[in-house]
Amino acid sequence: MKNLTEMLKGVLEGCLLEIISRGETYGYEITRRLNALGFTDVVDGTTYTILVRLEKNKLVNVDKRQSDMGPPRKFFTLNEAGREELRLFWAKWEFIASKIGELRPDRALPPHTQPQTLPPVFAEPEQRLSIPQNLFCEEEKSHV
Amino acid sequence: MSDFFDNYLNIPKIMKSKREYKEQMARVEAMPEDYRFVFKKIQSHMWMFAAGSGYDMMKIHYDIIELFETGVLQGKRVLEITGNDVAGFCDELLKCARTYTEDWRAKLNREIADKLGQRNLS
Repeated sequence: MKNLTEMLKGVLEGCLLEIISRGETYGYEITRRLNALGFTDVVDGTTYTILVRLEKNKLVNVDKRQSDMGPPRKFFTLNEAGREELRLFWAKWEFIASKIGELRPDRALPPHTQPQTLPPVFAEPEQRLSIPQNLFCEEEKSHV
Repeated sequence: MSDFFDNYLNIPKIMKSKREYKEQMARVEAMPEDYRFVFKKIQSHMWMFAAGSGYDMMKIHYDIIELFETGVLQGKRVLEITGNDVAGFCDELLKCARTYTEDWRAKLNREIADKLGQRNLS
């Protein structure tokens, strides 16, 4: 899918942590992996900037080794702080995905509670109004 | 005070840094024209945001050279490496350097926190 850049920001860092957690890897390989997943807009430079940040924040171990061709290549593995960050990422992701899933108009309310007589244009805002009270208050406790 | 001395008055360090800069720029000159052009554009763009001694910025630029050299060897064009949004690429890297815009943000939040305290936060 294309034009995801803005929405992907922040999430990509977690994706990289996950990919690195599965075994030593390097920038080019990570980019290929993300492209294969369907993130076709991700280029080497995107991966690179995130790797620079992960390294600066000391979430990865970096091993610079001579590769078969070209300049020495940086190989990345997760360190303890990185694994903790990855765990936090999945917890945050779980929360975001479930909350946004609840906001989706087609999933907001069970079908039988939707007003049958109103055309969809009027039905929508009403559904939205009825969401906050029952969902947001309790959920916060269980996730924090 | 010692940081200040180290960054601005430490002559051996400055000479070493100048020598390294020359060496690194020679690597840039050896790259294809599109890479050379984009590198210099990135370099001058990012310097506009630099704060402090700028040593961190230089390090980031030298690392870009390595990224670009890999791209050259893979036979890619430079925009296949950076993406078309080169400014966006720079923005991400600027997060790892000291910038005056970041200094301003920190100053704004610090001054407000000093005045109103932390009680409204978190």
